[in-house]
Amino acid sequence: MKPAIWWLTWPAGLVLLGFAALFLGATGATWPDVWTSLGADPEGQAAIIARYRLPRVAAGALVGLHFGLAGAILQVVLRNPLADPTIFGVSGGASMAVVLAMSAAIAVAPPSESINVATNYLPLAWLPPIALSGALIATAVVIALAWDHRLGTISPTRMVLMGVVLGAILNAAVMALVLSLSESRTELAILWLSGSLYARGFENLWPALPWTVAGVALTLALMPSLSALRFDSQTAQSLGVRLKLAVPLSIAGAAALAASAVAVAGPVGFVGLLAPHMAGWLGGVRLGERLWASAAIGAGLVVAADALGRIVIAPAEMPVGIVTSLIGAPVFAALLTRKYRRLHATVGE
Amino acid sequence: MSRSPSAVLGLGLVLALLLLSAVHLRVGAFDTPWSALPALLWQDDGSAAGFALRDIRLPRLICAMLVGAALAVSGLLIQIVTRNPLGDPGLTGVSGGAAFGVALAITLLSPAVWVVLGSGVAGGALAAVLTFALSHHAGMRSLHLLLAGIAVSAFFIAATGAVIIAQRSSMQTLYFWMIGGFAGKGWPEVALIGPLTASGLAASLALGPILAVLALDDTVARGVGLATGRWRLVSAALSVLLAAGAVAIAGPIAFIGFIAPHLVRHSTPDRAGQLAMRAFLPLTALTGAVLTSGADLATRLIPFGKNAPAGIWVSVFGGILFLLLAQRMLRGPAR
Repeated sequence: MKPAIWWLTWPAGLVLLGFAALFLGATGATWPDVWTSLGADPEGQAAIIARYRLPRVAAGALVGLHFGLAGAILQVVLRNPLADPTIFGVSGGASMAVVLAMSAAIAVAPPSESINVATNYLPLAWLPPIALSGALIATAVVIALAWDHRLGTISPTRMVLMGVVLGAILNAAVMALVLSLSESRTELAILWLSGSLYARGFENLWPALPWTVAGVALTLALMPSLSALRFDSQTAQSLGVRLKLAVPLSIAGAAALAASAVAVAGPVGFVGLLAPHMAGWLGGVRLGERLWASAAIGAGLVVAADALGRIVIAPAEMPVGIVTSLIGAPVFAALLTRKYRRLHATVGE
Repeated sequence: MSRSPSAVLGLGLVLALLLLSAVHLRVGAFDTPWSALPALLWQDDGSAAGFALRDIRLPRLICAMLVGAALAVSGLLIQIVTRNPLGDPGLTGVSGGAAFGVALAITLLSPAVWVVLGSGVAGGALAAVLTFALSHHAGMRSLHLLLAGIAVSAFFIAATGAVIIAQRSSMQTLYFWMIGGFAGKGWPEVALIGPLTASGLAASLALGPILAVLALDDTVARGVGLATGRWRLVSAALSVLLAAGAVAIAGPIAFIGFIAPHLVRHSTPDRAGQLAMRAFLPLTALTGAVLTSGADLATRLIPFGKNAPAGIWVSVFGGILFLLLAQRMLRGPAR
């Protein structure tokens, strides 16, 4: 059990990081700017912070929290240190479902003008459940493809490979759909598909919040099962875990968290992979500690990566998904060399 | 008798390629009647239809074929060198590295043809070395080769995106280039990739007997007196060269290098290894050419997703084929 101060570090660090992100951007900001922006009627520099940066930082934190928690749950349930919702085809399935729903909506009613391509055809609150249905289907397909018939389990390495290939197929199909929808919208659709917090406001955030609550509640409810699932399935079973209930429910919970995040910002790659490992490096032995630390780190990662993306080539900006991939891919490679023995044992290759 | 199935397959592929070419050259904004096609091809009558045929459709078609052949043979070489049947320039990160090299050359160094190509080859080689370093300890025949390739490829693709966006290019330009296609390819591109692909294919053919031995067990290969390490390096370099040339022209088109050799293996009754390399190599190149020119024709003919780069269709159908074939291979007896 960690001392209380350990638990306070995460939220405190997150708030500090959020403050720092409010300062960073194409236009400079000073303390008074940031301070007045949080007051009643901001103007000038403070208005930029209140109207654009604040909701963006909030959206980044929420998206990162979702990906971080989802990745941590998946890594435990699948006993796969390489698990990440965005490299498992989850985000491809979510994008596919959203774009399909958009095409259907356009066929019914012509689109209005708005800057958020993902949101100008459909009511915002519909996006997370639609994304979730796609994510669940894609996850089921990946699990079926990764099933090792010889061993009767999911092969972790195969799951990554199949997930990546399924993701490539779905992304290409999504692009074909977007192109046939309307050519004027492709730019924004592509921005969304590469994972971006550009022009995300509070209105994008509210529909995802019920899913945050549901995901966190489900995680809390499943915590005893998740702790037991870290061991092999026989041990978990003897500890009283109902595998047929706990495993699908945990995967569905992770998919719901990831899918609602994809509905807000598109697939922000590798956050779900990085956050749980960083939580592990920073200590945190008990599962609860690791899960919540992973959620907080995920939030911090996305906020920091987005702030970085906003300043490196200002006034243009780098989509947050590109920044996280540049950090995440080398870590993925390092994990591959460090943990290969363990994976080997699991796959039995 | 043993050669006749591959001869039949070769004939079929050539016929398919001719048919695809004919349709490719005929259809478009200027619908050319069949009868006028040969005349327009051979002499310049100054008409817009003639221009479209000779300077737009023909070089685009040739580019598609060359890129397909180059990627297919590159994939075959990777499969032989690593002895991993799932090998592919895209999945091993080579295409991603080459794309990064090409993007870096265009944006920061110089858009001169040889700089772009050299940088692409360097990027592809760097990626190949990284993937090898990350996976050789686990054995390149295992899935770790592909997982390492996925990591390397994800990094270089994100880096390519960063380089292109930093130059204030639109996301659409980036995306279209990253998925790969042949729209707007002209004679300059043919002049670049033509000699490269031709010499690469010729070199692979010349290496044929050595490749046939390399595909066998290492002990067998050494037993017949082959310096396996050296020849593997040569073959790997050749596959990087072929893939980098294709990527420099058309972007990192995925899956062709995986599919083409397997389609050839599956459509000839004598199984992998038994098919003589001198038949296998050209058949693979032909299959690759048919696949890419077919995908390019599909983007021009299918009204759904019009103007989509050819790479989209290659990714969708190639990816599905990959899943099916990989599934079958992985389910097979333990290696």
